[in-house]
Amino acid sequence: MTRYLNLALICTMILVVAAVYQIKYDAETAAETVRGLKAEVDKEREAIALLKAEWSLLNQPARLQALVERHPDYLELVPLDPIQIGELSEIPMRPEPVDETTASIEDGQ
Amino acid sequence: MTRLRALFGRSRPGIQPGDAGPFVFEGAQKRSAAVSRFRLVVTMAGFAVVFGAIAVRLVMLGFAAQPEARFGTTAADSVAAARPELHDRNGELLAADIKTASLYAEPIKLVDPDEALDKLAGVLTDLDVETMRKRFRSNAGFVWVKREISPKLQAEIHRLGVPGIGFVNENRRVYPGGPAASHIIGHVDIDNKGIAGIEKYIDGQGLADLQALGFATARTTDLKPVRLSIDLRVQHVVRDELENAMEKYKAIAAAGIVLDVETGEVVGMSSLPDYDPNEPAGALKKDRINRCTAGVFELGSTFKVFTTAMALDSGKVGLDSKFDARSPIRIGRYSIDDFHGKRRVLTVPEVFIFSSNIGTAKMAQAIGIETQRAYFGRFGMLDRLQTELPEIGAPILPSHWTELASMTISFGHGISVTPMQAAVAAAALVNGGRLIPPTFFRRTAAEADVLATAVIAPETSAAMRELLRLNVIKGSGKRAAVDGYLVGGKTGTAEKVVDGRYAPTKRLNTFLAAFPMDAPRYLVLVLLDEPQRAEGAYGATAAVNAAPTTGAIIGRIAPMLGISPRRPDVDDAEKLASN
Repeated sequence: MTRYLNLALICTMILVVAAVYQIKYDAETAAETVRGLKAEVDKEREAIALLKAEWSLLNQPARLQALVERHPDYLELVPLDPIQIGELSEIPMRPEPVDETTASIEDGQ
Repeated sequence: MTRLRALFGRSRPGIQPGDAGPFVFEGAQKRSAAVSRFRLVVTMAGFAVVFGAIAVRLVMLGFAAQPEARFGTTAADSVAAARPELHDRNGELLAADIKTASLYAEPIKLVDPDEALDKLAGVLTDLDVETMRKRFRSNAGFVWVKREISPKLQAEIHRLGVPGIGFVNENRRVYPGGPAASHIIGHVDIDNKGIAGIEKYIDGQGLADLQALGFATARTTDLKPVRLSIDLRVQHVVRDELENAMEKYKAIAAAGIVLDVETGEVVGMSSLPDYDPNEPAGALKKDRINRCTAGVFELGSTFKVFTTAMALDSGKVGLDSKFDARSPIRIGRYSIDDFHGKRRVLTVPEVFIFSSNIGTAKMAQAIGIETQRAYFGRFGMLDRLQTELPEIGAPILPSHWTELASMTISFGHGISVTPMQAAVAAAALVNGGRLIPPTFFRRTAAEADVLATAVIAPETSAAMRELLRLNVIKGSGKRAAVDGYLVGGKTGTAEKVVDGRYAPTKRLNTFLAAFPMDAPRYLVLVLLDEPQRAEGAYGATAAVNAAPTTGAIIGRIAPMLGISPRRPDVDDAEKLASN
């Protein structure tokens, strides 16, 4: 009886050891992948920072102004004049369709 | 017996052989068994505790959060510490870190220093060969060859395959705007430490400590961007218009400030000539100082704004008080006269819009020396300005605040302050009398209210708004008028001191403006240093150069800042002008 029990325990132990080894191995592979991904994320972050800086460089007001001044015929952009800004209340109502019924109502009032 | 006794002898002292009674042998055997079982249990318990502890610790380790694995952390990481990005108030990038490579050599490992150097010199054309040769032949363990090289060069050097040289990645600070906001942002040294402007300020706020402890290394990506109060577009407009003005009026320098009068936020600030923070060596040139906060100037007639405000606020002068400006004031060998003398009795608004030195000096006389000094103290003009920028100039005050000094100070001579101090004090005059310390970071109106101190009464502030508007409608500020916006302002044409004397040909012109005048939101201060007469102009006073420059700035920035223009027919100040 004890012999079978021991045998079973030894078998279990071997299995468990094998399983632990496998898990450890997997974990190492996973860590390797994580390391690789992290490096990649770092690289992407750097690339993003570089692109953001470049975007900002290309969008500098001074640069845009120079471009607008150099290509007036093509871009046709001029500085905003305060006179161009209006308010909603300044927009006239849509002219009402000339219609006898509305005309008569307005006359009535 | 002896065996038993020996056995008992080893047993615990509590069990005595004498206790056994008559049936010694049986009892002894039983007891012996009990003792060994007891020992067994103790031993097992001991092992159980030890293994239990190990098991518990293992479980704990298993559940504990994995500490961040730091692979490849080298000295190189701490060379160039990470800095937070700087953004403008709308989130536009002002400064950022990008990675660059720096080339180093380990002379001790160089097989043939001369060959290595020849190869490198072939790629790095600007290398100082002789100095490098000395360094390469030394027994040093590490020398920098060139910091911050481009990726293309890096690839070429890599291809040379010279043993004993290598690259470290460093963070390099880039300023996409170049000189656009150089005096505000400041710059960093080659080790990415802030040495000027806001860059230096944020180092002082604990970033430097973090870097020293190694927390803010090149890998740190979670530094939060720092958001400033400036608006990049406004900043550009101010700089662009100042540049135009410098060219048009051949001025040697110019400065401009746009301040939010409700919050004290600096929305734009430029001082020309400036420098490109990407090449900070330019900052060392003598004329590159920040004239807005570090330079102190006698601001001339612009100071009449402050004198008039304190005269009205003290209650000793009313808007309808009259001052005799028919003849110059003589004190000792000095005489105070008007630039465009009217030679008649003037009311306060007339003194203001004709910019009468005599009238203003008499106003100062009316309020008294002590009161004048107290008001200047309240306006924050007697001490250094408190703000985030490290480059702050201290005002130059008269050594003795005599009656003559009091009179000249009333129209801006004999006291030198930074333009920022004047802007901050003027903001208080138009915003209802609340002096708000300026800031280069975001601040809400509620936060500003906590910091604000009342310096003049709201009624005085209202009177000042009318006077400033009146000066643009019919006084010296006419050329600052902008269609659709109620601009109010005051000119200042000061003669510069050259070799201890006022030089009539060297002027410092200022224009102090606020808009929209019925409920001011922004204050604009423009300063031109030694402007010359422009073609077609009749002079070189502030009215013909600083005022139109200010008008041009306001016309461009007002729509950007979301101030809606008015139709001329709603311009209530016309009514004011007819009074």
